[in-house]
Amino acid sequence: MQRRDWYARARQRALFETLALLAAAVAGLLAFPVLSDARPATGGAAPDFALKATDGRNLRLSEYRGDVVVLAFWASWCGPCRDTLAQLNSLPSASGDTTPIVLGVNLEGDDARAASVAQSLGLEFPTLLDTRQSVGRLYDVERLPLTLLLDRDGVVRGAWSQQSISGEEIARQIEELNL
Amino acid sequence: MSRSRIRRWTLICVAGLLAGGAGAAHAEDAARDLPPPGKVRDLDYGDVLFHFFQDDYFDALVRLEVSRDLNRIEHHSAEAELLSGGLYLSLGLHSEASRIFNRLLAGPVPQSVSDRAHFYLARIGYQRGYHAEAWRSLERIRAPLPGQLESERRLLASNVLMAQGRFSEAVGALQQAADDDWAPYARFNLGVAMVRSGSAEEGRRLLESVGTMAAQSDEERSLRDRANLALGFAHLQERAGEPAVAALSRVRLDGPFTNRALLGLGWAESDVQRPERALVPWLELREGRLLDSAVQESFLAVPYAYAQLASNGQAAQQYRLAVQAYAEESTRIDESIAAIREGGFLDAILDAAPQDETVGWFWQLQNVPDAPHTRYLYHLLASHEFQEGLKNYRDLRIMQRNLERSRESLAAFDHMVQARELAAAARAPRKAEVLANTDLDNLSQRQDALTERVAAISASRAVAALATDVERRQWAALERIEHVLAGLPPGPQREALAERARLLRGTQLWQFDAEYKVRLRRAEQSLRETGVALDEARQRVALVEQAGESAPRDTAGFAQRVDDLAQRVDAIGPRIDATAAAQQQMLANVAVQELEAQKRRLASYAMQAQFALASLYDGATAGGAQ
Amino acid sequence: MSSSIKRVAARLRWHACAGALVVCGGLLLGTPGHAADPAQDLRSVDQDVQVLKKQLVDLNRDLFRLEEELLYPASTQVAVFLSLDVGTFFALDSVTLKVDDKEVANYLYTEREVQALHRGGVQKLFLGNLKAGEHEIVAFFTGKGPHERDYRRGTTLKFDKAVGAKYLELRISDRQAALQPEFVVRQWE
Repeated sequence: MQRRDWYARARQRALFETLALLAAAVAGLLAFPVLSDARPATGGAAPDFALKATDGRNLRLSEYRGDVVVLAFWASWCGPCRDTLAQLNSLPSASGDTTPIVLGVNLEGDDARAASVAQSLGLEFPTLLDTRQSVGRLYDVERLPLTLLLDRDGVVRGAWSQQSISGEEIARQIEELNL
Repeated sequence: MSRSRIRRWTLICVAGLLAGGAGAAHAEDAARDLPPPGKVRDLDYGDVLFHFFQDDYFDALVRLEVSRDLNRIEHHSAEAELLSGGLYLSLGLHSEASRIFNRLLAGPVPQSVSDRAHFYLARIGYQRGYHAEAWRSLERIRAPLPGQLESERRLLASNVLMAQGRFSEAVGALQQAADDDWAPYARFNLGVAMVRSGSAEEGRRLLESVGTMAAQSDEERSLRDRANLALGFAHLQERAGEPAVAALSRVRLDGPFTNRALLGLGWAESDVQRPERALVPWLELREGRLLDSAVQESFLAVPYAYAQLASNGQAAQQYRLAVQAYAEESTRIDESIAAIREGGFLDAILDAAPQDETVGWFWQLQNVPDAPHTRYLYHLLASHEFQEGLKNYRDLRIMQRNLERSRESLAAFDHMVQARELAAAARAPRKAEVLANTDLDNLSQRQDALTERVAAISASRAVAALATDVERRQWAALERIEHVLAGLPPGPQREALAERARLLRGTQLWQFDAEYKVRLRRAEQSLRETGVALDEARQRVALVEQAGESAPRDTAGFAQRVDDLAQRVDAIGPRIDATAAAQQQMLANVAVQELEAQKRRLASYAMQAQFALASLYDGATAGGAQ
Repeated sequence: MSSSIKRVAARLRWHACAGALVVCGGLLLGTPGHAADPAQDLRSVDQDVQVLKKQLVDLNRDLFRLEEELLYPASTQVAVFLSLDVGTFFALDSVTLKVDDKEVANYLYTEREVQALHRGGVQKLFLGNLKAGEHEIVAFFTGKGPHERDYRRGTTLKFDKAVGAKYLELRISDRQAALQPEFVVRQWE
């Protein structure tokens, strides 16, 4: 009995040391969230993600590199979001030479409702379903609506938070930034 | 997620580092002859392919280099070599690609590999203008290349022949390639080359065939327009007005070649003595923007037509209009030259340009806002040097971004390495303490002794040895009783007591025995467990000791690597900036030269207009005298 | 009509036509090379750009290596790859991977990625660290097969992590059970 206790303690101590050693290997990993601010600030790269759209396709943000992209985060209970979505629906024809890709990201976690709202709004761009709300977290979305304008390299060049935004304004921004 | 994000962006943001649509096709081809799915024998090679098939060439190349460095792709070495050559080529690194293909060919490689290496070398040679060399490489290809590559080879062959002036052979080559996608483009090139070099009739025939083909895509329609335009002007050269009209009328009214077609149509009509009909396209043309040289010429052509129609008054007025227009345009050019000299115009151009390389886009820039920076872009881009220079400048900007991401990654790694060093330093005293307290030798000695005892017991079935304390006391008591009994005088009393003692002992023994097996098993089990625990403890101590030794070494190694890489990053940065500045300067010079040439042309047109005007006045005076 | 006008006109016209042809020819075939100097400058800048690109490729390669060795040393490294080996087109939708009962990957596949897998690409699904000893992975995939049929399959594997880097390949294959995609797991050393 005595011996067993002793072994157990020695073993535990050795175990701790080894874990501490491995923990050092992962310490760097934990440091990262501090080093790389999760929320993409204007000028920062938009984090990549893949989500399923209401039509069943999986779409990945990085595959749109080379195009100007508008990311619109929304939820059905958010009125200004709906306004923004309606505006974005007619965006492509409003901005002349550059035809931006619009991607709606629904953060509710209720796919059926998101799909039905998208349909009732007659949205012509993909509605991505963030079922697990991982992208919402990735982008640190605290307030809705949040609309981001990305350039052809995937860098955030414009951000509108807590306000609905008009198609003209986005088109103007695209032109001003020469995207 | 964050780490891989950083790396992914470091790599991916350079995915735009392509030398051109045609260039991308090079790397694409390198993969045609790859083993079918399931036959990839090195997983890391499969990883390279996964990125390559998605056109992430830079990403694929970096992974390929890493895997080869670490000897992870031993089963696909020749293919990997070929692929890396193709990737370097698609990224615009012709010299590196060349080196790789030549090195590949120096060793023993299967014919399929050497054929393709020769093909890529031929392509590089052609691009650099070493036509004879390119032809020699082509001749070393033994068998038809896989898939699309064979068609590309035929195209390359016909291009090289054309570049060498071997037109009749080129025609022959084209006949063999009649079904290829690129055939119309080659026919067009050959047609123009032949017209320029004197085989005009044959050339015109080729152009006619392209000019009347059915066109599905926008590119094909554009090609058809060019063919008809070239054909029309070829006819004009022969003063064949009617065929010229026929050809030029086929050019689209809303395409990049409309203006020139209108100009040519006017001349064609004028050639067959129909100046009133010449006015129609010319007047329309003159409504266009003066930055287009065809429009500039129309300002002279219109009064010329009026003069042919004997409307001298109109002619004079139009000439005056021309002089004024030219002067205004010259001023605008001056503004542009000034703007270019100030700098920053390249960035404005690049921001306006889409990312893909197809040169066809530039004509759409006629819709670009009429700013001093961008007004003459259309013309500038007609120059090959300007295009190449622009490509370089664009690539340099992308490289700067990649370098920035690399800097960020390195900062993170540096932080990590430092954290490790600190952690190791903090742990050192504790580790020493642990090692001091873990007296493994002593433990293992005791463990061994115990093992021996259990083995001995189990062998001798000395059941008593496994008794519990209580039992041992009982046993000891029984022994004392027996001892006492032995000292008693024999008699019935002693017999009765001895009998009871025997019974008790028997019971005890029976109990021991029954429990013996269980206890032995348990004892052996716990012995095993503690044995295992001891082994694990030994292993862990060994690990800790080892880690204690190697950690500082590893960390020092990492720290060194981070430092080295940081130095390289610091060295590359300024060179990129310097090269970008040099390229910008060059492009600015080319642009200014082009614009000054434009000014000179405008000046010469203006002079001709003045001269014509003077002649008209002279004529009027002379005519008046008649 | 004055002959001088005709002469001027002829000269004018010839000039214009020749100019047009030059422009036309220039447009069609690229302007003839300028003076040698600009071409020379372009070549030297071009060479510089190539050298810099190569240096950048090397830099990225070394960074990639450093990152892997720093974060996933060979002694604890475990890599899980995914590949497709199917006779007919299989539209892979998603793959979930758990190691020792903890979810480490949940990947959604786009059309482009599925094409790349079909052409023989292999995805590095997961890269992580595990201690020596026995571990368990559990993987699921979902997707659509021919005739719009949905598939969902899973697999479990217990494996031993020794000292060197461990590679595991999850292959989705329909060779075994005729036209039914299944997981086939393979361990590599």
